[in-house]
Amino acid sequence: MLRRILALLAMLGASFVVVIAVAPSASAVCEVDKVTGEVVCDDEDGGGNGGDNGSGNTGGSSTCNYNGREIPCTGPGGSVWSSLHECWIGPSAEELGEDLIPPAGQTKEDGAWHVCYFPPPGSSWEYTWVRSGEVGIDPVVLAQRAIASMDLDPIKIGIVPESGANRAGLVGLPVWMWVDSPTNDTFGPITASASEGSVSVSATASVSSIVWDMGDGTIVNCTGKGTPYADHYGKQDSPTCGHRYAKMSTDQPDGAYQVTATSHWVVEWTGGGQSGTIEFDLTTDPLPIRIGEAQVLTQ
Amino acid sequence: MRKHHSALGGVALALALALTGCGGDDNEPTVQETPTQSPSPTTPTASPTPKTPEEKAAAQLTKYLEVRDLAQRKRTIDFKTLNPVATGDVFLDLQETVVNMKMGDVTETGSYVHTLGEPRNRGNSIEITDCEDRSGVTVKVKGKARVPDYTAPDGKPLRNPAPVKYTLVKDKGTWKVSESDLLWDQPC
Repeated sequence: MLRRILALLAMLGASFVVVIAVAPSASAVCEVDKVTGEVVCDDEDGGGNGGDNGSGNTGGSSTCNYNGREIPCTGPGGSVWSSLHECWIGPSAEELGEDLIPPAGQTKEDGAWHVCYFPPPGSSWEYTWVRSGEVGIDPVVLAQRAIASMDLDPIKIGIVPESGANRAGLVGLPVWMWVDSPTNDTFGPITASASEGSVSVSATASVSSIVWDMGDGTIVNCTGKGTPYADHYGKQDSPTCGHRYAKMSTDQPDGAYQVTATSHWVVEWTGGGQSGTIEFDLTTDPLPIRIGEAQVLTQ
Repeated sequence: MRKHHSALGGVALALALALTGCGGDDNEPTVQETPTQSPSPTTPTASPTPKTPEEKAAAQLTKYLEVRDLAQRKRTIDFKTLNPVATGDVFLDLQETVVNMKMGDVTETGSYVHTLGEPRNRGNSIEITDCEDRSGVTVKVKGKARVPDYTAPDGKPLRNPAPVKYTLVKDKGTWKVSESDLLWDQPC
């Protein structure tokens, strides 16, 4: 039970505390905790030990491979999968109250004896010597470090009608939206690496879609960069990413619709014997776009 | 019903299940895994080989409970005996339990008494509820007996005996215990 909860927390990046009230539902699975003496229950529908290979916006997840099948990278008690040892590395022998001599040629500074949790079938319940830095570094954390080093930014909004005190569009006419001057750090793809000890992770990030909030209650989802407007397009609709306002913006704050663009980043990462996906969003500051009607504008 | 450490009881249950067709949902046909002869009307003189899926699953659960109880008493795991009878969550949970017992200096002495209910064949899985009697088991934390040994989610001492529902699945042709669920709010 604890394993499932810890695994879920680990997958979510453990960046927040989940308070679980003990009020088991009809679908809860219960077992005794030998240490605390309490019966603990979790919800079958709400748990899952890493079986979810998808990713939300909460930090990503990872799967590891073992004998040609995918297994969660986080094992019992939040242990971390080791491709080298083919088991989840659990607590050290010292944590279990055992004082063991390091193997020949090694010292306690070089590593430690650890419990190995095996996916079925298991092999040996003997302690495994794990060299310092060999495991315990969550590749997801390294992937997040790699992402941070990319210094990604929201896109620069390209839009016609343009924003500005002396600029305005007309009700019913096409609005074109696009990524202005896209760069690696605003649209991707961009690749970066992060390492610690012997573990190295490489991550490649790119924008999969852009969600445009047009400020009038309309959300436009565009999968590409959009098409920059040019005068020769005249009153055509954008072939890739556009909108038409149905009302003037005069009743809006500051008399303008506040347009934002949210780029959805997808980062594929691999390293440390694992791979995974991390997804997140970056949103621009609001850009005011004024929309009027022809007769109003000419008064 | 069958006592875990009563071989004769096991024989009786297995035979009774085979003869009555009891061992799954009434509406579900009993699946015969291999061609077999009809049960002999003579009194068995030795432990019969389980024939039906339900009998095989019950036999596997009995073995698993022996392995589990021994692992918890010795706080170590013999994979040679665990591998053939367990998989899935149960396989991982037992490893974690043993480690946690060592870390928390928890010991368990004495013997459980397991009484298995009728297997329910769900097609891809078989469920068996064990009425687990822990009257003969003492749990100590750092050398001191814990009383009560376990506390239910409602704050009351966990009833004894208590039912535990086990789910067995086929793994490479063999029924193995995969999940367990303590039905703490139900009587045996």
